[in-house]
Amino acid sequence: MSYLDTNVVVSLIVRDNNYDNACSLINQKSKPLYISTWVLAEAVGVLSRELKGRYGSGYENMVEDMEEIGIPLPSLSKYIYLMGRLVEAMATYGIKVRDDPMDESDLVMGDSHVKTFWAMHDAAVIAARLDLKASDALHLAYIKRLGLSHFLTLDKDFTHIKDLIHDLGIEVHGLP
Amino acid sequence: MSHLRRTSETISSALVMGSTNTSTNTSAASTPDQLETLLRSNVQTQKFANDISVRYGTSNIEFLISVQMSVLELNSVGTNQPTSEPLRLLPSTYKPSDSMSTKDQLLEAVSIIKEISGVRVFGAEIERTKPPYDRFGPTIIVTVDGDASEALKIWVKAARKVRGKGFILKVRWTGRTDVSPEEFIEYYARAEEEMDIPPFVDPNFDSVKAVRMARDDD
Repeated sequence: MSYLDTNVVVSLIVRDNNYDNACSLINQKSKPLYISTWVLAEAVGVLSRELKGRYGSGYENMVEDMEEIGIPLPSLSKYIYLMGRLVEAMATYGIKVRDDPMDESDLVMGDSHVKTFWAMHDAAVIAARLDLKASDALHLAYIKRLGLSHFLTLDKDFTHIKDLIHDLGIEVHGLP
Repeated sequence: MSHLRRTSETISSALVMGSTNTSTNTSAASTPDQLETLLRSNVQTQKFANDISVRYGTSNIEFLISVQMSVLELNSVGTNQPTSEPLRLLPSTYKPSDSMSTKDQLLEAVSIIKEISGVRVFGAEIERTKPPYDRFGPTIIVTVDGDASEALKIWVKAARKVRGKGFILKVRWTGRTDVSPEEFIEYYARAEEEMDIPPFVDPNFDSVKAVRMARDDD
């Protein structure tokens, strides 16, 4: 079962220059494809930054329509808009969000142990093992914990170290 | 008529689908000759005219005139053509060579909504689409005779059928706005996605770089 990197999901929504590659990647694998809540958070963050101050975005058009119709703008409007886009795109491309495991882990801190969300614990271990940034390691941690084995990404930073990642039991699929 | 005006100031005129009343009104005589000629010569529009009836006396012919005036205006300035930038962003959708004429697009939009909503179309109009979304064609606003919740559900269903037709579809409604702002936004986002309209248009945007940059910043 396959896990999508955030860049694949964002490309499917924005239809940028990577769109064909993103489609090619996901078409190679059987459905459903999976993402984590971390992918959702990253995608919303990236898209939100792109919408900020941008003239003539879909979000801005929607705000104008709401004003015209007389519907007040809620405080979480941008989040709701982006989640709506994500949910619809996921339905289109056969993508599902895998639930977070809820168990706790111990993070060893010298002589003491700190109770931690498992993802932080696992990401710290993988980051140290592969010399990765925590945000990158977090995806690999999710793939392991969610019981998935294939990682579809458009980011060459991952494909360059696919042999190292293979040692974790994860097969990276991406651009050469 | 006050109800009509109250419902939406932008509705060009009223129409109710499905009735057999096809009578016209002498108010057409006050329109420019050129417009009348165009009305008579357009077989598709005449066929459409025979499909609609009048809710408010003169509205039938007024609607057609309004549609045609919109079409004339749009055609005269070429706004139903996309910008000259390449359309690589949407490989599966709108291409200028495939585009229908603006009036055909309007008829297509009404037909799609009519099919989904069970002939509950109240009015339709064409608007210029602001850049950068003008590359997807004009915006056609169809007013559904019902409440917002019904109109928005119809919109999302219709949106998938609009893909690649060369126009953007929006809906308005004659009844109550019986959805929360949050629900409206969800419908809006879903309809855009179904129409294959991205949340922003930027030829320089690179999803890989954007995500990488966000991770490197963290």
